[in-house]
Amino acid sequence: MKKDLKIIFTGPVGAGKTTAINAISDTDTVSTNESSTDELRYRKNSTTVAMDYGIINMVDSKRVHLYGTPGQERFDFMWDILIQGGMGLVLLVDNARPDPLEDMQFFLQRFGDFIQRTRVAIGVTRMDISSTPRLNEYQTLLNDQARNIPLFEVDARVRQDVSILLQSLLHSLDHQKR
Amino acid sequence: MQARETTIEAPPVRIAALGIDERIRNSLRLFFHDSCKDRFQLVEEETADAVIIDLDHRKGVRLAREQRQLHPTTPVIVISRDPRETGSLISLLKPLKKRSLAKALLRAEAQAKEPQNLSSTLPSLQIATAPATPAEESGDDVVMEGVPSNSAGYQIARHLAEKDIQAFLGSTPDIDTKSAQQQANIRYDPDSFFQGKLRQITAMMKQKGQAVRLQFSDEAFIILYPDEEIAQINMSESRLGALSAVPISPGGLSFSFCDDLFSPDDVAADSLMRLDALLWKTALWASRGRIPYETDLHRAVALDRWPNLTRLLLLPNTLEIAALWAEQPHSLIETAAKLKIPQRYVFGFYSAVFALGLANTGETLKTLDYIPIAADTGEKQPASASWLSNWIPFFRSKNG
Repeated sequence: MKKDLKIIFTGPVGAGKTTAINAISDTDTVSTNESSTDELRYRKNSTTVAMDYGIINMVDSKRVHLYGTPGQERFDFMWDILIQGGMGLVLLVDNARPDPLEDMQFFLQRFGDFIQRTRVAIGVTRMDISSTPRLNEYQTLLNDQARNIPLFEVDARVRQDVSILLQSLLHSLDHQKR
Repeated sequence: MQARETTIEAPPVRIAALGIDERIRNSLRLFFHDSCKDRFQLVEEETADAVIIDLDHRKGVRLAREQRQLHPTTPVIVISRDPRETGSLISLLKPLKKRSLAKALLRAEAQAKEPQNLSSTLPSLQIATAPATPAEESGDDVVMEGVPSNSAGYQIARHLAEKDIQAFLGSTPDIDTKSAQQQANIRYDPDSFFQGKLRQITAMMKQKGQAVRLQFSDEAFIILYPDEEIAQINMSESRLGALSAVPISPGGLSFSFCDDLFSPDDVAADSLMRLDALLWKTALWASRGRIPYETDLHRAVALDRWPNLTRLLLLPNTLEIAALWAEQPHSLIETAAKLKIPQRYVFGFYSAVFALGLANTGETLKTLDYIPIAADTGEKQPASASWLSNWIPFFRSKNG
């Protein structure tokens, strides 16, 4: 039976969701972007309003579908729709934002039910721009989580980084207690 | 039950495309995937084994010159509309034909495998701006599909990959856990290796808050910085490996604390390594697929937290083992049996996470519902798990 995988990429504006999906997708990604509003323009010229979509083609015509949520909260009406049927969540957190730890907490809470049913892997991006907070500060917050969540420094432009993040998610799903 | 060997496939050759627009890059990706069976992979310049440069791009010639200056041993394929004199670079004319592109890629692959030959045969780059007489293309067909797995290039690549893995994981076969002798053979004392000295010195450094300089013979040294948690390494990779792989005699390592103002700001980036990456690597070199003396082979292990694996040396099955221990504690023997991998892969990974202080054989297990499993790997998995298990090898082979 042919059955495809659906993985959701989420995180705040500018965290690299579109870039990460581009980095790992085998096909041209579909992105529905619009010009950023003033408060976002300093960060990026366009922002995703509906979704990003990419595909990883496997053997036997199997595919991994990658869906990126819009980062801005005003588009969060899309989130629940996008995650339907999803197998797992990749959360990207931009370390150069004012309060990335709070960002992580927000998204873990917002997608809490989904994560409870599936799994999440977290990539901290732009650590080359801002080296703090360090990963161990994220880890300290994650200690409160029921699970041991994969957390890595990630450059969303680098396919290998995104691949490792995604593989950690897939392996976590594979070994989860049922 | 003996675990079976995991087949080690030759890694894809990483190709960067410079001065080439996204549409052509996508075509290259498709060509690499469909025609080359993923033998090649499009990557960024920093991680490339070879590069393709479009000389007709306005920066093409400059990019080629820079490439040759900065990376003299990296094979370069140049493409252009008109024939040009490109010295020993691999030259192709537009429009690109599958056969000629495939041949050029195979040449680049061979050069990448033997860079010393490339550098010795490459004079300084001379790219003529005027068209030259086109080189005659051989009419031999190149069929990338079905490149035999016993071809010379494949064999060499596989041999090199196995050698790399052997340097870190050794070659010890699976042990019979009832044999005391075999159990003794897979143990080592981390404290007698550079790994252990490094751990002790790092602990002292963090307590004192001052950088530490480790001095070796001649001009080789390592400086550890506490705030940045990085190491400045002034020695070759092979020497660091040799230093890490053999026990250090008592008093065989001298170090001193640096003054407060010492900082790594002016240090060349390529001589810096993260402290966790250094500890991880030195542990793997010392362990060579063995485990610390006090390790109980049958005691369940959990990960306190995931290591930062995007910045650490990844060895076969690292992600699988990490995920298993993060989700469900297993003993070392159970882990190898469950994942059907050589025990030394599990032992090496354990030694590395042990060096970082992330291996937990006690406290965490209270909350992780440890249930010992039978060593028999023929257990029936829930349908969804089996289905996902079938996916992951494909994904790994595609994405490294």
